[in-house]
Amino acid sequence: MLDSVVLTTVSDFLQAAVRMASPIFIAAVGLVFTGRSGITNIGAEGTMLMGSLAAVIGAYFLGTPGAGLLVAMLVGLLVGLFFAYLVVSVKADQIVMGMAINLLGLGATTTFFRIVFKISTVPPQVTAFSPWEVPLLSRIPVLGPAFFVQIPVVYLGFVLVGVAYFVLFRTTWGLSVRAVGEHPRAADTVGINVLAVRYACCLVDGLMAGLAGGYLSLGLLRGFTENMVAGRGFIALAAVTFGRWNPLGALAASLLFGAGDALQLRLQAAGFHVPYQFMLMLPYVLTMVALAGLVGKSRPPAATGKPYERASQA
Amino acid sequence: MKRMVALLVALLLVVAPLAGCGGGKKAEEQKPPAKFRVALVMPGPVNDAGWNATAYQGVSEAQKKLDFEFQYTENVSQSDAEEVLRGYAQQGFNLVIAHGYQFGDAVLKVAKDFPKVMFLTTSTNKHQAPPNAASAIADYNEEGFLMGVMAALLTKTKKVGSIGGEHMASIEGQLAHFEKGVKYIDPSVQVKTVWTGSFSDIAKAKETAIALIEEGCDVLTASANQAGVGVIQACQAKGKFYLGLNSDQHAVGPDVVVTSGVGDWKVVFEVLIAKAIKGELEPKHYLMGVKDGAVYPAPYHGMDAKIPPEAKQKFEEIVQQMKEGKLDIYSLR
Repeated sequence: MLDSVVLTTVSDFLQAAVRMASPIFIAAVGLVFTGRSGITNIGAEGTMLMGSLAAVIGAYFLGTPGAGLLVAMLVGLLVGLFFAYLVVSVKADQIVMGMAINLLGLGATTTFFRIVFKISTVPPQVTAFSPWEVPLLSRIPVLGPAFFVQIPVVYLGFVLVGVAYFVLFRTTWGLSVRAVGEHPRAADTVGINVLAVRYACCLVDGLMAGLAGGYLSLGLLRGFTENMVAGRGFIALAAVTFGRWNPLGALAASLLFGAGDALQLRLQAAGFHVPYQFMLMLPYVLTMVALAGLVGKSRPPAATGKPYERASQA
Repeated sequence: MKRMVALLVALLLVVAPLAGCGGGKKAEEQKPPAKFRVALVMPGPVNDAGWNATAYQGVSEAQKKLDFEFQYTENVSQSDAEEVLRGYAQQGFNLVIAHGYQFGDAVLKVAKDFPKVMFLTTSTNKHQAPPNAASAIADYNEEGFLMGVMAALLTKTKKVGSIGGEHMASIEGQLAHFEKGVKYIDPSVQVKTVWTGSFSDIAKAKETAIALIEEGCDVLTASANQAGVGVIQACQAKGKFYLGLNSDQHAVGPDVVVTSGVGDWKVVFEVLIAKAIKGELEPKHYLMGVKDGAVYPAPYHGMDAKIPPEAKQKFEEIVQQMKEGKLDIYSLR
């Protein structure tokens, strides 16, 4: 009997870890693409936030959470397009533009949220996603409920991680992306359209960030609160770095972070007598220590952060 | 040519504000005597269904009964507080209300430079100073105590949970008195307290609540401003009771919020702003609680049908005792 209690506790903990990791790894998949193509996008936070609000507005006016999610992805796509224009065509500084997107996200969402829903003490009521048990797989002891009783968007996320890995490392286009990130001049010479590749990666990134944001407001939670992303966009970027710009690595890093966060909450709930500030630090410290030990040196694509100037035609 | 344009623009940017200053002075001389002006500085967003919303609504309601001009700034962090307070004082506001314990130090600093402006910090009893800094509390400790009483009466597992947001003395006090209320009814009930460190991360608050529920808690409360919404959602997902704090949170979770400890800033602000307009607001601490009608349990909105009648009766007995001044929670051990 004791065994089953322990197993349930571990299973609940793992389920929470996956839950808390989910918005992070979904956004991280998109960031892997921009990262690999040589663009540092710190604007994931702002994009996710806009996705969160778009999802709630979509679900509120169109009726279903699925519609809300599509609206979120569309908004994310548009933000990605805007970001791409700024850093690829206008060649503005990527870090500065990323920060600008974050500020825009915070300001725009706060403003639009109040315009659409007015100032009130009651959050607007929207239908959200519910967790769906995957038949058979969810019966695996311990790991089953952890990975296979989640909001369907999480399953989509798992699939997209696999797809991203395949595209990036097993397709020609993925090779182009990686080439553009390492040595855009060489890639251009062999005929790869560097600007188009980078634009495409930003669009993918925006789409995924919008999806992550929409999942946060319609899946993990039900509704929009100002500044609700609370730093997860930045953690997604860290997950990509720790995951060595590899979708599977980013997933692992996100799960590690989620596990750390779930652990510290459960320790606090169990009455562990450590100052709560140390508990809040735990996930960050755990992720850094584990990955410093396991991953070692992590090198970004060589051309990261530099806009690409096409050589002038002779 | 480019240099000329750049120089011209730079010159314009320097001259324009100066022109604005001059214009401002003239306008002031021609204005009729101004209405009493009240400014409200809040730590969070005005629509958080909790701490900040009550203040905003409190002053707005008071404005319907009294005659004054009202402006507010929200989402003011502790580091920006001094700037914002100074700004209002310089603009000639008569009463500046800083809504939150975390603003106390900034208020004391700014108040020294503006002796003609009255300052009021809420949620503290340490930041009043002559001649112009007062403090007020809608007794959040009594709110906590009342909800603790109800929690102990409702719990079947003998475990209840409380969640704090950013860590500050006022919230610590509120949750400590929640525990006091629980122990007052039944010392055998365990109270588990967790801090999330954030008012805006509602996903974390929801996850914290889930962790507490999985620990065995069947009644939860939270003092985390807007993040409390996450806790309510967790209670809805797991079918546990939730007790609100600071404002009537029933509408956020109509199926799980039994009642809330309401700190009615409407009452506090109406009384104190009226005093300020008459020039009678003294630089001392104003504590208004159940006795003064500033703290009371929210209506059940039908939830009383879901709780045992003995619980409801005992709870209302205690509320009555506090209203009549017969129960002083600060004198309990």
